[in-house]
Amino acid sequence: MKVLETGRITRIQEIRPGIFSLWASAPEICSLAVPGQFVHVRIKDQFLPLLRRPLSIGRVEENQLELVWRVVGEGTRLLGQLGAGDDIDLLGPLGHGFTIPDDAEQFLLIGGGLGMPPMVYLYNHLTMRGRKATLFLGVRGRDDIPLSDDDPILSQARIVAENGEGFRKGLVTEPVNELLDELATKSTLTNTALYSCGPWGLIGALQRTIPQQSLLLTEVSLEQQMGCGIGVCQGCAVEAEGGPTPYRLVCSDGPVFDLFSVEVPGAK
Amino acid sequence: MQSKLHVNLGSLSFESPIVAASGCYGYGIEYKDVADPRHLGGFVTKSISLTRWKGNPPPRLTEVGHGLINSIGLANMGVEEFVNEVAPQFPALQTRKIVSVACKVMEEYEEVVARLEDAEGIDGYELNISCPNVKEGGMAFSQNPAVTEELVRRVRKRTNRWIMAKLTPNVADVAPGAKAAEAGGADALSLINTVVGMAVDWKSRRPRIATVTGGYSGPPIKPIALAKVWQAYNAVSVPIVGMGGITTWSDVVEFMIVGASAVQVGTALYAVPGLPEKLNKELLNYLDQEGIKYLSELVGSLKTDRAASVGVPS
Ligand SMILES: Cc1cc2nc3c(=O)[nH]c(=O)nc-3n(C[C@H](O)[C@H](O)[C@H](O)COP(=O)(O)OP(=O)(O)OC[C@H]3O[C@@H](n4cnc5c(N)ncnc54)[C@H](O)[C@@H]3O)c2cc1C
Ligand SMILES: Cc1cc2nc3c(=O)[nH]c(=O)nc-3n(C[C@H](O)[C@H](O)[C@H](O)COP(=O)(O)O)c2cc1C
Ligand code: FES
Repeated sequence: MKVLETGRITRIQEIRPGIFSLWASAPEICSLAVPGQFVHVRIKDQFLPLLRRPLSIGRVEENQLELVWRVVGEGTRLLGQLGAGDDIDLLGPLGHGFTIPDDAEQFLLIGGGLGMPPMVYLYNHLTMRGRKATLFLGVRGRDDIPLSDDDPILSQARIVAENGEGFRKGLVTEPVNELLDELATKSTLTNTALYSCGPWGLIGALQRTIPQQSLLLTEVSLEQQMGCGIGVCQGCAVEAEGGPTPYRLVCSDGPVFDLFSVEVPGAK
Repeated sequence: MQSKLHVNLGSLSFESPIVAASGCYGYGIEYKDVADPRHLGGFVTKSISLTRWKGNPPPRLTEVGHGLINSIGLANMGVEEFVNEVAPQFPALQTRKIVSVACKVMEEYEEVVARLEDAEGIDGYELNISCPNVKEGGMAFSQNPAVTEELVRRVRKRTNRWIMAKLTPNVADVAPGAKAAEAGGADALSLINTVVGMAVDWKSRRPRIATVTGGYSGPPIKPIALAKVWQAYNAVSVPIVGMGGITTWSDVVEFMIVGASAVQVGTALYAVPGLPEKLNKELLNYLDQEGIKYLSELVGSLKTDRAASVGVPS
């Protein structure tokens, strides 16, 4: 079930240079959404920009949802100019969320840069239900962290920065694999589920380093240029196994896919 | 009483001139939760082929300012699944249901239409002979008037349902193709399909879509579309369904003035699925303000100073 809903912005803040967080009340979408889904946002009541912009649902608290984005072009720039009290045209919740197996006992969540918001949503969803989750965040440096300095999630996430800057220095896949090794020696990985959202580089690195066979579940959330957002235009195809053709649609088959079913562009 | 927005396209009547364009409204069932299909005069499905088509490699879309370039490559489920899974839902939809057909060779058009004849609730066919994104068939059909005529004639023999031929703008003059489709027995013509276009990332020197060139749609193509509709209107007597870049009620009015009896809205639906309802309201408002009784009075009402008005620029 998806709806067109006019959300009302309650809070909007530039949390890092060029990274914004917005909270909007959207009761219908909030009541339907699950972690991993996204909304298709119409920035203005005009056709420039022409298309909606897909953004992951970050946190959901009662009838409010959070969107977090980086300004990369005109659409995200204009979105940052909206203010509290403004209306925002949302189509959602769209796509399929993450699978949460009943028999999983360990959850590893890995956000890469602006891939973090859906991981935070999933993390809150799991921990509120008393499930054991570890949240990793990989960034280049402090300015890339899509969380504000006073965000309680900041102290709960294991942050890895390529530039160090007071965090563990390196790539986020390193502590992830250390934890997987530790879990494997203590017991088994067959009760462990792993989720990620981030750039193709991170997805490729996970494919190369994660012990595919031993884990219960491995899922990633993908991005692709979208038109409709609801499976109509066939525009958001990616190369992935599991459908009747070599392609699957990010908006309606995804955005969540099995990590090992997707073909990282240029990897072959 | 007949609605003020009522239009006739030959033997088929529509409650509103706003029809959802092929490729922009899925198979007709996807949007029904978010926008009531009753506000549409009708919709045209994604083009259906004989077998499932996987479509072109990604990336398939790139937004360029006000416009969109696509190279979907007619990815679709194929006629078998369509007849079994989708068509049975058509009788419940209170709008005109037009099925678009696109194939590689003429015989396949005949086969697909023959198969679709088994399904109830289909009001007519749109023959897509104008897709710029496939290697075989597609736009090449519509670029060749003799082929256009034969193809329409063959399909005409297979069905008593209403047929509309969809023409390409990627020709110097649409008149010969329009006349050919009419001669072949088309009940109506629709135009334009997308305009061949291209976008390049100057930094990486790579094309922005995998097939290098694609089909350009959205507001920037409206002037091209208006010109092609005007040319076609002057060449044939069957009704014309105009499209290309429509986003406002005045766009609709402009298309009708240059000769369209109805219009299709495509790309704009991705941004505003509820646009048809808005356009209907605004068109009614316009008729009231202008004191016009029926919208259909506008068709071909362009006021030109010269008789020889099909445009050679001077
Ligand atoms: C399911 C999904 C969830 C997303 N969630 C987030 C999020 O939570 N936070 C965030 O910062 N970004 C997210 N993105 C990426 C975001 O949609 C783009 O950054 C945004 O569309 C850029 O728009 P623009 O006009 O600023 O940029 P421009 O580059 O000017 O946009 C031009 C066109 O390209 C498209 N585009 C550009 N980059 C992307 C991209 N990475 N993915 C898809 N389309 C793109 C735009 O939508 C637009 O149509 C998500 C993308 C998808 C598909
Ligand atoms: C993503 C996309 C897919 C399309 N697929 C089809 C198609 O399958 N068959 C067809 O006849 N036209 C197709 N079209 C063309 C539209 O029906 C329409 O002719 C064109 O987009 C111009 O109208 P617009 O500017 O309102 O979008 C497609 C257009 C887009 C943008
Ligand atoms: S964005 Fe249209 S099919 Fe996915």
